Amino acid sequence: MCRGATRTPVSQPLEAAILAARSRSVAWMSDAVLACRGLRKVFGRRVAVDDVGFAIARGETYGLLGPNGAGKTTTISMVCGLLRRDAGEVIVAGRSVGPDATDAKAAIGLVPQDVALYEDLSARENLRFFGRLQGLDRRELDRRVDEVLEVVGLGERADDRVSAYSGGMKRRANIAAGLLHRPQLLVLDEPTVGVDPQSRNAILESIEALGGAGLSVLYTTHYMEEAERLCDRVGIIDEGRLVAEGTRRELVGKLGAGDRVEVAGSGDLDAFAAACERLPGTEGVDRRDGHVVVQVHDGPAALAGIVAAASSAGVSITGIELVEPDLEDVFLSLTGKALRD
Amino acid sequence: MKQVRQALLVAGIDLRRRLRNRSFLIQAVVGPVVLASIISLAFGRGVTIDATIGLVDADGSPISAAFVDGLADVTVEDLRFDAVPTAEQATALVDDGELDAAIVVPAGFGASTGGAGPPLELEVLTSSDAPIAGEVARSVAEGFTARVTAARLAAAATMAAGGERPADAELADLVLPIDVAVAGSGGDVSPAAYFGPSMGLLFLFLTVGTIARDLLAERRLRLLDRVRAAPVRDAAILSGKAIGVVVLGVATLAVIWGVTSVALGASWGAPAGVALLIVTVSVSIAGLSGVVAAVARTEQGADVLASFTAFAFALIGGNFLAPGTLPDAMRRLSLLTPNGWAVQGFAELAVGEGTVVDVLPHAAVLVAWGVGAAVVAALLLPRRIEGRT
Repeated sequence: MCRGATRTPVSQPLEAAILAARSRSVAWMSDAVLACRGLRKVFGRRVAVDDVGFAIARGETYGLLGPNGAGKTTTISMVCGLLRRDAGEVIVAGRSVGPDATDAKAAIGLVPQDVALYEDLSARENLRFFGRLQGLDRRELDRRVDEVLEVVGLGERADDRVSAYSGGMKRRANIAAGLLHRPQLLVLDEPTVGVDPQSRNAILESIEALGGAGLSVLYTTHYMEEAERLCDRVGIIDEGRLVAEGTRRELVGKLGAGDRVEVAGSGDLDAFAAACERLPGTEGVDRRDGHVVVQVHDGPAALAGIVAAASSAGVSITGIELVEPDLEDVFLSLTGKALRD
Repeated sequence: MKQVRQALLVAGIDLRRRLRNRSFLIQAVVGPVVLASIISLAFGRGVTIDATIGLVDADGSPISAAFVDGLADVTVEDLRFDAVPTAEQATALVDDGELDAAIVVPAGFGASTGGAGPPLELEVLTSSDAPIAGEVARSVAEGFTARVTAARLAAAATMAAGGERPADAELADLVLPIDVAVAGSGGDVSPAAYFGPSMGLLFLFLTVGTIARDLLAERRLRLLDRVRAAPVRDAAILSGKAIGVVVLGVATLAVIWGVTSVALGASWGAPAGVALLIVTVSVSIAGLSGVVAAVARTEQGADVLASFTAFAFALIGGNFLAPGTLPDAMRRLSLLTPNGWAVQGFAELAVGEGTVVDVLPHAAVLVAWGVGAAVVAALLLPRRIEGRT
């Protein structure tokens, strides 16, 4: 099982991190719904995906986190058998995946990034079409269409044309089409891009519920908050390569960085910064516009000392914030750039 | 069997969507019916020739007199022949538009027919304002000179056998009478019977762009990904798309057939032959749709490519011109296009009163076009729908 299997050294350069990720063997879990390894795809001279491998256990939600163009969609296209891979292997529900591997495809429910529905048909007509393509018989199809429409909250608008839906409703119908045939693995490709906050929250709640119900989920995103909220484990992908993988705690642990205390105040901030540098446990101090940012090993333990230092330096504190490192920091540390670069 | 069922599912969803698309219905059905109706009304019951052709006898020989006198009384539909005293007068009348064309028999023509050398040539005066009358005059002159040549051969054979040269009057009897008939210009055939299928084909070729564009849009919107993510082979998806196009083509042409027959009184000819051509030309269009979708990189590119192909094929294939009006070279060139074969097949049925057997070669060529294009599409399309190019 991949969970906790990686220990990428802290602050290592990107190339070293990649080498470490490549050298580890991807564990092929006995209960894995998805297992892939050595995935590679080249478009012309551009290597879109290079030696990517990961596995997803039954009931697990796995996030592929990376900026636009990192190779997330190419990876899931190979996972779903939509794109021929140049190298590597994909096993879903115990069956090898390829463009004509229909048995393996039956175990996958794909929710593309765009609203992949016929806008001139109703949600019900769309679902009936995709359900019949999946091989559902008429009686089961009618029941399942009603069920998934209720799950995504579109039961009352089921017979309206998709073109009449709001953006959030279209996204929910998009997810419903992926759930119709009771897949073992649900693959969602950035399902919240361009969605308003309210609809986004509704979509995330739906996915949390699906994961909670035991469905295996592969979720790609470039939103760090979504990966942290939804995913049991996260694979960080950049420039086509999986540079780190693990739970949030594991990934932040690999970072090895402490907390950050950001203090806003008035008075002699230079004297305050100098006082903070002398505090035990301080790893660094930075001055920003009206702020002093103190990098510490243990944030909660350092707070009292920092407040006392401010007082002794004659600084009046107007705001103080304790910031723990997150996946954004992990990504920044591993790749040298922000997720939204 | 499962793949066939899935292909039919894909075809069914495509057809359902097109039936709901008003602009597509206008393009595929209303447009050709309206255009065919307008053209048919413009041409009335047929393509008639309303022309007066002058005849000048500058020779005065028995042969030239027989030619002019023989034609002077001829009237076919609105085609008339009038004797004119001199070539100069004929030229002036043609220039003034009083005559649409003229034929001048030059002095010495009769004598030249008995000589050893070639006979003198007739002169045909034409006007750019009346090209069809000019063509008729030229045809009449060519017909006359052909008969003169045949008479000379007969005279030469008589002399070679030891006989005497026939007198000019006897030669004139060999040349005459001259029949003038206007064939293939309408008669009982309604122009709607020609322009109905012709315009239907033009618009169907234009829909090739719509079909290709839709396929590319489905790829762009990841709809094709969702379909391909189902347990269905790419071959079944593409077959379904092709079936949809064939059904659409058949339905479109069948509607046009029905409307022009009922509303405009057109007779397209033997129903079995018409049905065969409708199905086979739809097969060829399905193949071409696949090629356009495979070659075009963008939806706009598909539109441009399909429009160019449709109009180029329509011009070369003879969709805009009535049968018999194309020069021989163009008629041969038109056979390089599928719609050229289809148009000629429909004309064979409507004008030539052909049967289904007469259009079997046309149907075979159309199927060959469809299959050939489908093979090209099958080689290129998987890369396109997978997004590898």
